[in-house]
Amino acid sequence: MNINISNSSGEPIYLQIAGQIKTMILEGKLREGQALPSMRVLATELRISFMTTKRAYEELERDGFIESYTGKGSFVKAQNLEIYREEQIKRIESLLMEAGETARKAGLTMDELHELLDLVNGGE
Amino acid sequence: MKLYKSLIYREMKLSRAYYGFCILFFALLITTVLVGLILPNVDEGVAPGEARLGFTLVSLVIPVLGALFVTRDGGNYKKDVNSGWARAVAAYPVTSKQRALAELLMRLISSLVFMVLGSVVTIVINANFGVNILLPYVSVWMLSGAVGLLIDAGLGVIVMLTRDKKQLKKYIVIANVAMIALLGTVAKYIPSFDESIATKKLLERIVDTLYSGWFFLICAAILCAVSALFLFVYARSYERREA
Amino acid sequence: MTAYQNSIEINGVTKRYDGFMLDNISFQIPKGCIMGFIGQNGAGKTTTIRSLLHITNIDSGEIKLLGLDHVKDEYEIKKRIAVVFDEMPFHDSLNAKDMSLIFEGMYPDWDRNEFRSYLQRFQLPEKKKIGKFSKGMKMKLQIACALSHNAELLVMDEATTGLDPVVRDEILHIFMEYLQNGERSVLMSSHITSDLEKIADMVTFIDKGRILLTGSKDEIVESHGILKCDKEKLAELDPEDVVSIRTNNFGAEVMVNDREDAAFKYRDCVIDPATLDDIMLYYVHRDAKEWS
Repeated sequence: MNINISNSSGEPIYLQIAGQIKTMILEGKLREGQALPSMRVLATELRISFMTTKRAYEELERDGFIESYTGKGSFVKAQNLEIYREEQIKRIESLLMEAGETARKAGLTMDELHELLDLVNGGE
Repeated sequence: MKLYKSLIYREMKLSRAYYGFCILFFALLITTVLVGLILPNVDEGVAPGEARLGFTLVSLVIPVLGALFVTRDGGNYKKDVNSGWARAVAAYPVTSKQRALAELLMRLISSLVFMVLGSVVTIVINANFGVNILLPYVSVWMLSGAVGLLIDAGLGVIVMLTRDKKQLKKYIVIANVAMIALLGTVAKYIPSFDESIATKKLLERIVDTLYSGWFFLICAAILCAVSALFLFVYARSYERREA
Repeated sequence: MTAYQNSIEINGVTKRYDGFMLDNISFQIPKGCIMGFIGQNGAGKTTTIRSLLHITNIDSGEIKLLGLDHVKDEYEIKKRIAVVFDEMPFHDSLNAKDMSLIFEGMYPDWDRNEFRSYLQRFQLPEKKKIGKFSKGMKMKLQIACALSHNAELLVMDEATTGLDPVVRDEILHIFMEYLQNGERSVLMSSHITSDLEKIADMVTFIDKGRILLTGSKDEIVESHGILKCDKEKLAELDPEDVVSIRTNNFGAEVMVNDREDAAFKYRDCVIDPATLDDIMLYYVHRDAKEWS
């Protein structure tokens, strides 16, 4: 499991950790039922306060990605990828709406916006 | 108990140089006494009365000086203050009473060791002249050891009463001067080894006392009392909390 | 073995002496935490620690270590804690082996093998006289001793001051390993906040004998921020939000005590995250509202 934290990105460290673990779970790099390193081990390895890792795990548990059992540790929960996909689609919708608004204000046409989308995302 | 073993080990290791010096000094003392006393007299032989008197009084310089040095602090107080141990030990699980007892035990133990080493003189004298000076030797050793402890307890009281270094230095100098003066006045009263009958009679009485059983008991009692005082003073001084 | 929640509990402690005073000090360290005790030199860190250890008496208040009273159960407590000083309290002529023999009698749980393995890890010679050790080696030796008797609480007073970053990093990492089982705590006083920035779980900030902040390090750091703005804008700021203001020829930097709130209230200003160093700096100057 690889976790890289940045001290200068401005994003709180616990969110960075939670985010990276989340991604790994969704990408299938962490399987259902797999044990996560204990909060303290993770903290020692990353050389950060264990309260930070604790918070990260609490965040993940709150979002339903992991389950923690005192004495045993934390484990990856089975993910309903459909629901996650739908949530992300909703998010994208609102982001695109915002992009559209901004484009209109700047005087861009929808075609120009499409081109911009392709350009920015490397034309996959 | 393990704690005392550790504390005494520490004190002993720090006292290595001092005890080394004590051994040398002691060896010198014994050699001087043996060479000065015994050898000249081996051939000639001595009148029995003379032997007892002479050998006893002269060889007693060994316990007097030996015990005095061995029971005294050999620079450990300074070492402990300078290295920070005196302060730090308050954070360790050692009580002031335990420290005081360890201190006392160390001095008594080393004193005992030296006493046994020095008793070689009694063996030599006994072998060559039939005079067994063991009893007065041990008695005087105990008495002198008590004096040594008393001196350090006195210094301990001074340390407790003074609050800053300058005052302390002043008082220690005064104490040392007083001690030397005291020894000087006492020395004046030691009868010189003249041949007059009156002095001889006095010396005989002194020597008789030294050989008596009750003198031995008194010395032992004094040693016990002074040890208790020593413990009390040292425990109190270690107990002091900083402001 | 009593079960306790907080390794250290200090309540309303006051101590007066020599023109200085610890004024109603209170804070706790829950089991399993590293607490950074920060403040300037002379702010009262050492006095607080001495009071904790009963090296000096307090005038009022209550102190509990490992759930026990710090005076009544002093001896019992000291068997279960370890103290590391900024100067090695052993004479130069002693060596590491001597220290092991000395501590063995004092601490019932002293583990010779544990000590030896720390010596190896720190690459410290067993028979060499301490007087020949460098400052970093002396500190590592003290720490090796502190970690070798299963102490439930480590108290360190400015122990990492004067050490180079490599040694400090090593030492801090070892503490974190030592705390892995969640049953042990560390109280570290330091004026080097960068050490604590990363690994401290909690922070207590003392200034001029008073506790200004205490709590989770993350929360304290995240709740503060530095707002940058023009000097003219200063009048618009609510004084309740401001810790202190640092001015220069081109503008002002304001420390705010509630970053989220300030981001909302003063929307057009840049607010940077604050470091523990910043927090200490701005709070120390809190009386002079504006400084430079």
